[in-house]
Amino acid sequence: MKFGTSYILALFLLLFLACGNDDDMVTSPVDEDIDLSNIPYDPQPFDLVIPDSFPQMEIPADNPITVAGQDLGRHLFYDPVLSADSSMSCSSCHLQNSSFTDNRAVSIGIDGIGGTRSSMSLLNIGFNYNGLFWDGRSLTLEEQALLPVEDPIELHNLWPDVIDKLQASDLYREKFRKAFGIGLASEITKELAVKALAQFERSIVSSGNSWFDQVIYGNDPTKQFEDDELNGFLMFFDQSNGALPDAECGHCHPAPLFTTDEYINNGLDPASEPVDFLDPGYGTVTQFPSDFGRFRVPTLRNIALTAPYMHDGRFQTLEEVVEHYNSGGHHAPNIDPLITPLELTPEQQQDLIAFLKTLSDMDVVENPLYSNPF
Amino acid sequence: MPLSRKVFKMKKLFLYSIVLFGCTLMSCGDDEVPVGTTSEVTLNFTANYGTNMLDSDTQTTHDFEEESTVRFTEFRFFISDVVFTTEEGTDETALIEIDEIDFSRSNMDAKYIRSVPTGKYSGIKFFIGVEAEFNNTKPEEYASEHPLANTASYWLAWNSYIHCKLEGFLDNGTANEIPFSYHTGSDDLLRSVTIPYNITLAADGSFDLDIMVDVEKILYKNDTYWNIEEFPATHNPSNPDDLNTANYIMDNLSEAFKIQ
Repeated sequence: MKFGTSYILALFLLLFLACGNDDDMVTSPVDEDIDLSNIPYDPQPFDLVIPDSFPQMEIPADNPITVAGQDLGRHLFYDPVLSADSSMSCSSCHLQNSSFTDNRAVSIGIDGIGGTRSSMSLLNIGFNYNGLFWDGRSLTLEEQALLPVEDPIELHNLWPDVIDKLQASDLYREKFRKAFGIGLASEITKELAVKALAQFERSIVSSGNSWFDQVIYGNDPTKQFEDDELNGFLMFFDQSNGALPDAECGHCHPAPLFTTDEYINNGLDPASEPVDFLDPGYGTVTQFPSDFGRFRVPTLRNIALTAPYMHDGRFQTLEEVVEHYNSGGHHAPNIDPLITPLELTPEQQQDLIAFLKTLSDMDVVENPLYSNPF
Repeated sequence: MPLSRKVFKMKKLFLYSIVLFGCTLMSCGDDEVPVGTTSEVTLNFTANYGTNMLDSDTQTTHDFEEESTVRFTEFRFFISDVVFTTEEGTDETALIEIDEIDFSRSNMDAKYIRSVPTGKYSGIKFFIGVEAEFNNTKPEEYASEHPLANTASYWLAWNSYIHCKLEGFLDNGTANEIPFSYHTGSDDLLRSVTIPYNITLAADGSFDLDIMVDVEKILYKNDTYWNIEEFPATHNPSNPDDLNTANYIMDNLSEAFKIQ
């Protein structure tokens, strides 16, 4: 009897030790797992078409874009399965026809709670290597895609619950198998899910067919800017040889991507000290005092489709944006020295807006490769 | 110890020696630098304003003319074709092909460690800015980690990389600070710097070379400070005032380096 008790105790101890804090432990019993090896796995590289004027995209070696991976990412992007109540997906705040923004000042999550910042465009996001979100808190798209799912003011879900649903889905078992060659349904993980989402996001690239691209890079002399567009272009890049004011735009928004992805204070709010900024922005991430109140410079490609503007959506129109820069903004110790009064006339402000509209790329917002597959 | 065992032990020792000698020979293959012909050189670039350390991150103010002060929010410049020179002037040892030094965050941003052939050198030479060979290229031609990939350092109006960026604010006691932003580009504004300095690199040794740039000297010449209020920016190469300012900045910058 004594031997029996010791034996049971020892067995219990062994079981206890075996059930340690191992996050990687597969909780689904093996006998309930689904063998996927009968589904063909034949990864084909995705044909990423990048305009000639663009840089090459640097894609992580451990996550090349494949046809099946991009397709899986697209399904996950549009599928409300990622949210706790199945009411919202990534696409709820990144609508294709709004150049992957949501046209709200701040985004609203599944519980109806508004966030503090505006949804950023995903257009050409694969060319960003300087941090994501307005404050740069994620360094890679894979890392970034983990966060909204569990953010209480966004999709407010738990990754284990999402993975349970994906593992139970015939559609996703097949798509994960085709994308990543997994052998069992239990091998569907959040790490693979965000890899697929990142593949889809990297595939969202300008068509190179905007009016700006046709005029500047198209090598077709018959395509010329209208007068107002040309004036706007000359002021934007300070190319008028002094005939027009320098609007100072091109420093932070250089072609071809129309962003440097740097973090600057563009004079939105007055501040005497770093602590004065209601939203510390980049300072939250770096903790450098002079980074407080700085935000990532967004791309201006498709800017006419992404109102309202700024990190908090305070400006409803491009007219308001241009007026802000024309005024020179509000002083703060770390305001960018290029934010100075521009002294543009109302007509020149309209010319600048006419130029900004040449950056609209309707092909990208109608491309079926980026559209809702459901 | 019996003699036979002693003989056996000596034979074994001899065998080990042969093997060891063979291994040593094999390790000196064509691909490896023989031991004792190089020295480790550390190049360290720092920035001062006069005798004070430049620290653009903390918004430190520095004395300017009369009662006014300046503070810097950005100071960065390209260096290219950095070499050690010899007295004969015929043999140059390459150290850095091209890089952008950025003092916008901290005073000591740029440290380079190089393995340099031993011998005597008479100084260091480099260009401030992007040499024409590279200046004809554009950021999109480079991988993101390359110093020339930074789109913020290329300016369409100059059709050139920005050799140097110096930005900040002048406080001259008026209601608002006066912003300044000096961006210089184009092949004509490339400047060469030669700093004579006797350097003897011993085998297997190490050598630290601290190169300091004095930002005050960029804005101060012939006992006079630059008139920031009248000429606060250089963005347009076709504007004579801008071009004059850009030349002033680059000329002074090229004379602002010294070895500490």
